Amino acid sequence: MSHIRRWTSLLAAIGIGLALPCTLPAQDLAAAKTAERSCTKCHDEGDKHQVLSILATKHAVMGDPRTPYADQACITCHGPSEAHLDAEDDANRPKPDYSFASGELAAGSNEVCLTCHERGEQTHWKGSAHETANVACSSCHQVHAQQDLVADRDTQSDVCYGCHKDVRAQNLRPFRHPVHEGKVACSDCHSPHGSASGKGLLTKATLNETCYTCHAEKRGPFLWEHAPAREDCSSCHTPHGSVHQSMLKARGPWLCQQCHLAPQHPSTAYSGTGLPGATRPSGAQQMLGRNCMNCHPYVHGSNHPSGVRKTQ
Amino acid sequence: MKIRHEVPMRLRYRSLCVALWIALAAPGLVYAQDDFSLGDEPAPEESSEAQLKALTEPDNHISLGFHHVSDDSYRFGRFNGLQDEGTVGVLGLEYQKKPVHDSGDTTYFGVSLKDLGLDTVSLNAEYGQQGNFDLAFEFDRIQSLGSDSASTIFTNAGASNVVLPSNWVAGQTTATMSQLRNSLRPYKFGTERERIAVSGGKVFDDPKWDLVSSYRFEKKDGSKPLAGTFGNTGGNPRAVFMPEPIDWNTHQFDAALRYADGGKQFSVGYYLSVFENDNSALNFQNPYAFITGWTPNAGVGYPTGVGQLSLPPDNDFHQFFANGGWDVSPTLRLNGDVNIGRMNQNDDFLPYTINPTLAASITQPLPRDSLDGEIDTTAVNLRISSRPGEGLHWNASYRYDDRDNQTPRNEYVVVPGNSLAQDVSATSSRRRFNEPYSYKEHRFRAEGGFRFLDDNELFASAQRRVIDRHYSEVEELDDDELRIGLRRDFGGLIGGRISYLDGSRSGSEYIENEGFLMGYSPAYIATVPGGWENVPGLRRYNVADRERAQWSGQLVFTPDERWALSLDAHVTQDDYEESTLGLTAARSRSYSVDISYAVDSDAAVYAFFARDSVDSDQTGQSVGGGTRVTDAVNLGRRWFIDHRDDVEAIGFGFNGKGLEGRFNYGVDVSYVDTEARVRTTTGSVLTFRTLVPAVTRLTSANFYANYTVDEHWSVAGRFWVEDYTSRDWAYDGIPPDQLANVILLGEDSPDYTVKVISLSLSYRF
Repeated sequence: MSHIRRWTSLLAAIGIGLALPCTLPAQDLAAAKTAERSCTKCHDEGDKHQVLSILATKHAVMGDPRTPYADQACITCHGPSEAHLDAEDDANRPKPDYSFASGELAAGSNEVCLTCHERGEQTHWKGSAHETANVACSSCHQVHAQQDLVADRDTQSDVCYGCHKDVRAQNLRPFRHPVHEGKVACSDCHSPHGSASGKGLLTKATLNETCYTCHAEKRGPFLWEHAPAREDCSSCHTPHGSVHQSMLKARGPWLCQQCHLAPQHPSTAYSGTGLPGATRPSGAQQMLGRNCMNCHPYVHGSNHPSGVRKTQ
Repeated sequence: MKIRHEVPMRLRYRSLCVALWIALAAPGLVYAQDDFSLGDEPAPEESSEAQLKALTEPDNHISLGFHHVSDDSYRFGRFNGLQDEGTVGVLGLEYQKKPVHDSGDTTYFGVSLKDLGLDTVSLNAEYGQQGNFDLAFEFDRIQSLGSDSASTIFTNAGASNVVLPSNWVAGQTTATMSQLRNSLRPYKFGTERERIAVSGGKVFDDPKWDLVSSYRFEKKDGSKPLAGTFGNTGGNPRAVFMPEPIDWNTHQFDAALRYADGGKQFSVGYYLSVFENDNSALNFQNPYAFITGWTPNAGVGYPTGVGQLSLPPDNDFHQFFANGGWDVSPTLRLNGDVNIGRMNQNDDFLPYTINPTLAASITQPLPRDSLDGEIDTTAVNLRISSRPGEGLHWNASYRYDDRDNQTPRNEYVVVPGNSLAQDVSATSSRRRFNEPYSYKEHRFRAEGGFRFLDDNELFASAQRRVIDRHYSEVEELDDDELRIGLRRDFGGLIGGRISYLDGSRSGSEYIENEGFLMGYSPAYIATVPGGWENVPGLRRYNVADRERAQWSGQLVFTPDERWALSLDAHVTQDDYEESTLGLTAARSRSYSVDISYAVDSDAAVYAFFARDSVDSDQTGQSVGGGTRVTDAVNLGRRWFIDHRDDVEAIGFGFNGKGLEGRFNYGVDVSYVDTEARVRTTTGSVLTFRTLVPAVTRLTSANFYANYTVDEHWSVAGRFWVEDYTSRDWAYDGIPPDQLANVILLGEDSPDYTVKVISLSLSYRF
C-alpha cells in the first residue's frame, strides 16, 4: 500500500471512530491503532458485505482484552494480509490471509477461532465429526452479523438443515418435537462442536441421559424394567420425527411383536380382520385405540410391585 | 435503516424461506464471510451515517399486535399457542444495550420477550461485563396439546382418585354398560411446562480460569391418557382409559470450573438432576362387573373394586465430569473426558394391592419397602487426533460406557390387576424376579482423510463396538463398521460428498428364553411346555445379528452467484439374516432436491422436494396356549408384515423488497403428505384382510409483508392458512364402547383448516 494511502486509511478509520457515539478521544484511538492496518476504507458501511456490523458484537468490545478488536482488530483474525492491502488492481486483489470463505481450507481458518474458542464444548472440537468432515466455523457462524443465526433458537435449525436435509425431512413428519416453534433447538440435544457422547454429538455422555434432561420421569430405575428403554430410547423412537404417534419407529401392535411373541394375543396375526365389525362391540383391542398400550401402558418401566406385566 | 420482517410471533416455517439463503450459500454454509467481491469502492463522501447506525446499533424494538385465528384446533395450536378461535393480543420486546466497541465499557444488558399474550410466552434476559461475568435468566412456557375429541366416564377426571357417576351400570363387557354413553364427558389432554433457568459465569483475574453454572427448574402440569387394567390373563383382563395427572417438577443444576491456556484446556464439574412427582399413584373405580377368573367375593368388581396405578417415582442423578484437551504439538492433540454418575430411585413401594380382601390373602409380603434402585454410570472417552500436513488428517478414539445396575434383585409374588389373590405355590406364575439390566460398551474407532487435487478428499473410518449385557439374550455383541467416502469442497462449480458404510453385528449365543429363565421361578418354568415364553426363533432386533449397508451422498451445483442446486440422498439397508422371527429387514431411503435463484439483490425464489420412505419386514408365529409346542413349528401359522412409511414434502417460496428497501414481502408454501401402511400376509391356517393406510396431509401457505414507515415505526402483516387432514383406522369412528373389554377415549384423528391473520406495529428505539 502506498504511503499516502496508508495514512488516508488510518485517518478514515479515525474519522469513523470519531463519528461513533462515545468514542475514545482521537489521540487514544490513534495510539491504540498505530500497529493496525485499516480495512475499513474499503469495507465500510457501504460495502455490500456488512462487515462493520461486527462492531455491535462481542468480538469488537475493546474493553475486553480477550477480543480480537482489543488486539489488532481485523487482522487479529484475518491476518496481516499484506498482499491484499498492497494490491493496486482491485480486480485481481488477493484474498486476505484468512477470508473464512468457501474454498479456504477449513482447518487453517478454524485455528484462528480456536485460538480463543477452545474451552468448554469446543475442547472436543478436534477429531469431532464436524471437524473431520472439514466443516469450517464460518460454515455455521456469522461473526460479523449482529445476530448469528445459529445462536438463535428460532433460526438455528435452518442452519443445521443446510447440510442435514434428511433431518429436515424428518422434522416435517406429523409427530415431532416443537423445533419449528422455537421451543426445542438442535443444540438442546446436540453439541455440534464435539461431545462426550460418541455417536450423535449429544449434549450428555449417553443418548438416554440426553433424553432425560427433558424426560426425567423416564429415568427410574424401575422395579420392572423394559430392557430396550433402559438401554437406548432410540430402540423404539425416532426423535427427529415420525409418522407414528409418540415418534415411534413403527406402530403397535407390530412394533411390540418384533420382540414379543408369547402364546395367545401377543403372537396373533393382526390385520384388517381386527377392524370393527358390523356390530358393537367388535374389533381387536390389540389394534384399535392405543393397541398394546390399551392394557400395557408402562412401556418405559413400572415401579408397582404387581406391575411386572407393565399394566400398573 | 435496517429492514426487518417484524411480526411478534414465534410461528415459523422460516426453514422454507431461509432455505433460500442456505441454498444460495451452498451447504458449505458460508454466510457473510463469502468471497469479497469489492466491486466499486464507495467514495467516503457517499457513506451514510444512517447506514453505519443500522449496522452497528442494536435493533431495539417493541411490538404490539394481534393474531386472529379462524377456528379452534388443538392440533394446529399444539405447540404454537394458537389453538383457540378468536383474537389475541401479543406483545414483544427486544432490547439490547451493548457497549460501544471502543469505549472501554464492557457492560451489556438485554431483554427478549416473545409472545406475551399467548400460552407460549418466553422471556430471556442477560446482563454482564464481558470478560468479567455474565448472568442470564430465562422463562419459557412450552405446551403440548393432546386430543380435544376425547371423553371419559369418570366424574372427576384429572384427579388422582377417579370415580364413576352414581348411576353407573356395570357390565362384564361394554355391551351391557347401559349408562356408558350417557356418562361420557369431554376431556382435553395436554401438558404445559414452565421453565425458569438462571445461569452465570465468572472469569477470574487470571482469564485462563472461569467458572460457569446454571440452574433450571421446570414444572410440568396437565394430563395424558393412561389405561388401567383389572385382571390377569385367560380372557379376564378389563381396561379403561383415564387421564393421568401430571404434576412434575424437575430440577437441574450444573457447575464447572474451566481452564484454558493456549493449547491446554480442562474442566471439572458436577451435574445434578432431580425429578419429583406430586402424585405417587392413580386410583380408579372399576367400571366392570365381576368376571369369571377374578377372585370371587373379594369385591373386585363394581362398585367396590378400586384399582391402583403407579405413577413415575421420584428419582435423581448425580454426575461428576472432567474433560481436557492438550495440543501436544501444532499437529497433534489429545482429548479425554470422564463422566461418573449414579441414578437413584427409592420411593416407597405401593402395596401389592389396595383391595382389602386380596390384601388379606397375602402371605408372602414385599421383600423390601422400596426398590433402592441404583445404576452407576461411567463414560470415558479418549481421543488422539492429528493433522500432520495440509492434506492429511487422522484420529483414533476409545470410548467406555458402563451402566452398572446395582438395583437389588428380589422375588415378588405379585397380585395382578387388583383382581386375584396372592398365589405363593412353588409353581405359581406370579412368582417373579426383577431383572436389573446392566450394559457395558467398548468402542474403538479410527478414521482419516487424505486430500488430493486441492479440493478433494478421500476419507475412511473403522469402528468396533463390543457390548456386554446382563439379563439379555446376548451376553456379548460385536458391532463392526467400515466407511469409505469421497468429498469435494463446496463453493466451487460442483461440491459434494459420497460415502458407503458396511456394518456387521454378531454376538455370542442367542439364549432365546433368557428373560423367561431369569424372570420366573424354576418350579414354574418346569411346568411350561417347551420352557419358553416367546416362540423359538424370535430374535430381538436390538441384539440380533445384523448386516448393514448405508449409502449417503450430497451434490451441490452452483453455476454462478444466482443459482444453486442441491441433491441429497441417504439409503440404509439392514438385514437380520439370523432372525427367523421378529424384524428381518429394514430399509430407509431419503432423497431431496433444493433449488434457489436470486432474481436480483432484492428478490429470490426457492423450491424443494423431499421424499422419505422407511420400510421393514417382520415375521411372526401365531401360537395358542395349550397348543403352543405344536403351533410353534406349524408353518401354516406363520405371518408376515410389510411396513411402509412414505413422506413427500414440497415447498416453494419467494421473497422480495421494494420501495427502496422499505417494503419486504414474501410467500412460503409447503405440502407434506405421509402414508403409513401395514400389509399382513399369513400361512394357510390363518386369515388376514387388508388394512387401509394411515395418512396425513398438511398444506401450509404463509404470506407476509413488512413496511417501514420511518426510522422508528414499521408495520407487519401476515396471512397464514393451514389445512391438515388425517385418517387413522385405530381412531376414526371408534367410539369409547367399540371394544368389549376396553373403554376407549373415542378420539378422532384430527382435521382442520385454520387461517391466521396477524398484524403488528413496531417501534424501534
